[in-house]
Amino acid sequence: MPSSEAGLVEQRLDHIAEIGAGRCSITDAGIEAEADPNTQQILAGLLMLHEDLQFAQQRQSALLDELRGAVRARDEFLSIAGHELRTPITTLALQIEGLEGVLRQKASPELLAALARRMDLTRRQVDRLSGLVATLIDVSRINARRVQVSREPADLMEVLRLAVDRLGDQAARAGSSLRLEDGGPLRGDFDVSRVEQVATNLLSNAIRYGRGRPIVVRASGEDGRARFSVEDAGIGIAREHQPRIFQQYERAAPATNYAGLGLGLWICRHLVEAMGGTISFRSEEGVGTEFTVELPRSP
Amino acid sequence: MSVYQDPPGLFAAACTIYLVAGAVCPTVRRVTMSDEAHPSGAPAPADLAELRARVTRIGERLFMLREVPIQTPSTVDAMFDRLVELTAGLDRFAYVVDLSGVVRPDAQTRARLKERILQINDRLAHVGVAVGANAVIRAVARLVAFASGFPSFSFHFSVDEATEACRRALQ
Amino acid sequence: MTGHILVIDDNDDLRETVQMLLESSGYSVATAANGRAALAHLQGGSRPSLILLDLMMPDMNGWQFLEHARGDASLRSVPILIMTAHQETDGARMPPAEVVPKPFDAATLLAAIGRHVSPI
Repeated sequence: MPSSEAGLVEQRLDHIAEIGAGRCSITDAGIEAEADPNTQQILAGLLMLHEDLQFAQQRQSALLDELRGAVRARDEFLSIAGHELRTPITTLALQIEGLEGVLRQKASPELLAALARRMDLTRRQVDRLSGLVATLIDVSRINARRVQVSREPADLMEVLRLAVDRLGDQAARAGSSLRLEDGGPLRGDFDVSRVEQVATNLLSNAIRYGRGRPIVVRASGEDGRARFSVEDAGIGIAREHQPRIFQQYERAAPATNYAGLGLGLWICRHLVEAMGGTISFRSEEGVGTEFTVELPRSP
Repeated sequence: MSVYQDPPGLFAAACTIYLVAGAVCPTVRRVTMSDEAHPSGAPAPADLAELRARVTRIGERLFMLREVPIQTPSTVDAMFDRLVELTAGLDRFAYVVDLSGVVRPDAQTRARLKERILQINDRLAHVGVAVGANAVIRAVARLVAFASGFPSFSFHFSVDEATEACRRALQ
Repeated sequence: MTGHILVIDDNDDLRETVQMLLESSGYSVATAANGRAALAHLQGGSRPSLILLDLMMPDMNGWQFLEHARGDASLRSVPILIMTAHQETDGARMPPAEVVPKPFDAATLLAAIGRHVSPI
């Protein structure tokens, strides 16, 4: 190839490379100055491919911005809604307490007995509402990366005992026995409320999916690390769902059967990680599930 | 210029010519792309009527689009809306588009063209494109045709030739 | 049995509360926590005058129970009221039956029931 032609080929290859790199060296004026119509066509085609690339990138960028904005708005809304809801729930809780107080003072034993069950049920719904609101707020905090962990000297076994006691009734209603294997105190610096929240969540799941079979909580520890596990003999998690079990809005149980937000394990994972720990599980469909949380005993 | 269908191979061949051609290429400066200054936004009602008037029926199942020199996504929408109205109920039709006098449209407009053509793909038998002697417009037409995924485009010098190609395709 | 209602809902508290409401309004009530338990109860021979049915339940949900009920000659004639928080706009398939949307108040529920069956 004569050197002028070779130089031309080099030049053209550079043009193509510039387009691929997102830059461009072809202009409308340059195209017009071309004598050969075929070359004009090609240069125009290359120029337009470059424009299309830029346009697509701009659109993608705009869409990404819009998406991020929408997600921020959603989390903002969750946070506001959650905080707004807390006020009427507080009022409700206080009024119920007030009602109970008045009843205890003024009501006859017969009236008290007739109303006792209704008061129990009423109080429990307030707890449920509070729980749901707390979940909404947790989600918005986790999404906005605003989870705070505050540690204090505590006994992990004691925290687990509290959670087990709290859920004893619920387990009984589902027909499951709930047992804590007490291996003695497990002291360390823990975020007590977060640990309780995670334990409660895991226990709730065990009760919900436990088929009325026994649930066992175990804890152990060595230098530097403590762990606890919740084991059930329930429906288990299907193999195809296992990889995604900790994801947001993930429901391994069919959505038309179990109501629920699908957030529990996602929240658990984030809280455990915020505490510097790990959460894992083993499960077999139709046999049961065991979740294990490992935490550092001090930061 | 003769009538021809445009298989992908022809573009590749043209690229090869570009690379290997001995023709001297005057200055193609290393300048970064500047934004095309194209008007955008919906056309005024009087203009809308004028745009719609540019889409006409010229035969049984045969239609003509006389494109405006400066196309925008709005002008594209106005004219294709009219085409869809005129072709309502037809399971098969062809159209001739006259691109002589058109300025190279920007990326956004080309994207809109692709979308609108895609929407009528299943009823479109053929598109005959009159490009005059303008090589750049020929390149535009080819790019849009390929991107819209529709296989039966042809490019011609004159409107008459383009119309004839459409009639043949409709038989 | 006239005035006998079967309440099917997996939420214990709601089930109990609805039972209390209906009994204090003069109905006799039986309950079940899910579709399967309800079918077992019905197979025992009981024939309610009306069924209050939740949709989202484990171990046979409301949709599945409805299918069974429609297919059973003895159950087909029992009026069924759906209690659910779901609406069509949630993308949920609404069954072809009368719906009492949650949350409902006592008056609304009793009126809906009263259209089909009177207290004992």
